[in-house]
Amino acid sequence: MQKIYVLIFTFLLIQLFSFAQKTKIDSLNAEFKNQPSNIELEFEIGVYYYKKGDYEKSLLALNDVVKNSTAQKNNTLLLKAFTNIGNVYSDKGENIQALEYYQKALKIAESNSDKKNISSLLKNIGVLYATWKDFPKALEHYQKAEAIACEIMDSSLIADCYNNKGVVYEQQQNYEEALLAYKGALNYYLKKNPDNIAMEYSNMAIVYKLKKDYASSVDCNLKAIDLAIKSGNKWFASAIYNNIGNLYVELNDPKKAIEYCNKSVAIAKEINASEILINVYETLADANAKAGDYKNAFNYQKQFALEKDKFISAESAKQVNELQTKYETEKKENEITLLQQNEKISTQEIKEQKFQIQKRNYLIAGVLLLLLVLAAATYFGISKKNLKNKLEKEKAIKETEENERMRIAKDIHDDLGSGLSKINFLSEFIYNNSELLPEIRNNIKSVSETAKNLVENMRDLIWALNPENTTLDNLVARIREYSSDYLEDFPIELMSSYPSSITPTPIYKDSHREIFMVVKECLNNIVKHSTASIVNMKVRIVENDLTISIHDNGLGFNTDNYKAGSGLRNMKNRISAIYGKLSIESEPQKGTGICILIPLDKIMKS
Amino acid sequence: MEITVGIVEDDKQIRDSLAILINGSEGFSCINTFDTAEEAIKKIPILNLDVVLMDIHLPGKSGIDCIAELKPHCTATQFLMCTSFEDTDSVFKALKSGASGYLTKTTQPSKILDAIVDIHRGGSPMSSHIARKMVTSFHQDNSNAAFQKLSGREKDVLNLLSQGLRYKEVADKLFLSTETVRTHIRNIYEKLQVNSRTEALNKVFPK
Repeated sequence: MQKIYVLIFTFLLIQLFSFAQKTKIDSLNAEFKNQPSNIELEFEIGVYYYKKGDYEKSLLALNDVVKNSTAQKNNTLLLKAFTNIGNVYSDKGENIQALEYYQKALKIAESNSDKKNISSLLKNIGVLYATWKDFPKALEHYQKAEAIACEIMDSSLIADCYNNKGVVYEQQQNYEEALLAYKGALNYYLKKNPDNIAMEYSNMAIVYKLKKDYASSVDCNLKAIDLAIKSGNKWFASAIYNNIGNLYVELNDPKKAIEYCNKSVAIAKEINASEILINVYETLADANAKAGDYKNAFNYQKQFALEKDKFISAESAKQVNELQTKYETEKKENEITLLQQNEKISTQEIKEQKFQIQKRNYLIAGVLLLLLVLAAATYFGISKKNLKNKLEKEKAIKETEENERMRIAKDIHDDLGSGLSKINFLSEFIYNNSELLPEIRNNIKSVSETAKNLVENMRDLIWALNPENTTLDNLVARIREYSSDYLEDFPIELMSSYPSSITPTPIYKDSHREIFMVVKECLNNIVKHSTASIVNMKVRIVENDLTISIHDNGLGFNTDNYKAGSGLRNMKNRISAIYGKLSIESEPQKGTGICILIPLDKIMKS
Repeated sequence: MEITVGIVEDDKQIRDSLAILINGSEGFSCINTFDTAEEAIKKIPILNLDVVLMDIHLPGKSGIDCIAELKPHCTATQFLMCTSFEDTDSVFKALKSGASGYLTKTTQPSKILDAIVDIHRGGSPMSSHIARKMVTSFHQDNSNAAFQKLSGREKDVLNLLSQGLRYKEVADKLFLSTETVRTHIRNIYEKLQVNSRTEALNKVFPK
């Protein structure tokens, strides 16, 4: 249904420069054979093919006309040819080419001050913009065209412009403006061009239908059909009958709908208009369905599908033909260009040879100079480049190493980790079973703890491998979190103080790991050996040092006796490996204090 | 009233011992166990459970995807992620997809029960890593817009947690009760989830 409306629009938009409609192509061709220099005749042939829908043949003829009329400086014919080529491309949907040709034609028309053609070309360009849905541009072109048409008092052009503006307004759903425009067009057509009156009424009928003013729509449709029959335009009559049928379907009057559709079918069959048939069958199917006659509805639906297939296959056959012609044309064109090129080459060859000798001389001199510069540059550059390459390579190796380490760590994490977790979980579970012998319970407890420690160590390792985590603030956060979590399970009170804010400075992951391990070890010692009830933990950043002090109120020990103790020595070594200092203060019964001092510039990544 | 619990875990031994632990403790009842996400997705919406323990690594669909599918149908159910480690990335993904908490398998059985009670009462655990991830995530997403959705207090809580403070310390520092801190954290989780849901929608319907 929609399709028919669209066809109606395009019908009038394009002005044709041809009177050849009824002439038989055979006689045209025969005549053209007799007088091959008659480009007027060739133009007629081009237009004929265009009307028949054989676009490739049409373009072939029209392009030839362009060539010859350019040679003969026949501007009038050139303009017509450009315009019609534009029409062909527009019909083919290749709107950009169409625009190009209309603009060429417009240039000629403007240089000749040919106002009629300027106006109609502007209108045609407006149509292109309308199909691109660039409505403001379309309206702008129509407006200009209309102004010129008014100047030369060409009422049919004015009416066309009105109509086209109506189409744009309708698409913008500005129905009031659309109706006004259509009525304006109708007014002109009534005076001058009775052929188009039917179309104008039909357009108005469509707008009324969109506005749901069905009474006015019926009225306009009836006027349109009356005029179409009078003027003998059968295609149009059939289309309008279908539109009326459709309207009655919407008005819930299937009986009337079917009546009008049948009229449409009769005419459409007569003139072989399958594009209308498709639509009518669809309308009929709708109408019968509304009437409750599902059998007929189904039949029409089937016919609709059948007709659609036919239409599509006819279309595609046409396309195949077009492609064939196009292919042959291109082949011929290629042969011609080849011949032309050969000719050109021979004339240029002599010129070329002279030029070549001169060029060669310059080239030799240039190459020599270049070689000299290159040799010098290589000599000086090579040592520098080597150094740079080496550095880059080292960096790449380091990066790959790091990635690989991370990957392996993750694998271990996933495989070993889940296994260890399971051991921990199950042993813990068994431990809670109080029916077991104390000895077994103790063993199980130690299995569980070992697994738990392994899991935790692994977690720390993986965690420290991730460069995101190795920043100063992260280290402090980790220490803070760990100490409160760890001591929570024991009857020990934790007092702590931390800097209020720490910058997220990246630090070496080794330093990160060592510091954290030492803090863990300290807390572990307190829990295991000190019997302390209070732990005081202070983390400070003073000038360029990080200090961590951990004091407890536990048993303490004599530092002289413990100097050789491997646990404490190990802690000291770890800290001094990252250029820090670890000092221990302790006396029996007076608790223990451990102080770690790390110079920040030694652990910060530069 | 008993807390009804479901377990999604592919390792039979862990699954069974968890079920025994839960059923053997007063105030808990393990209603059903599942060994795949697919099975859980089919049955959990009907069961109307209070808490679901969900393993992250499952054969087929992951626990994270499983929660993402279930959460919209089971708004009253809380999902507790179980991981071998506190693998920050996966935990964070799980929280985004609708989990309200997580525990590691190294957690002592008694603490598992504590965690279930806690999550059922509206608490949500949050470690400093997760808090850190949240801060960066909120900062990255939608040029800070999501972070702006957090209230001033919620931002304070998140920042302190990311510095390694525990709930009690946070509460003391902000002159709040630990209960209020817990509520703040649950709200932060919900905002994160809503945020990631709209994020998903934006992907389907770009503006």
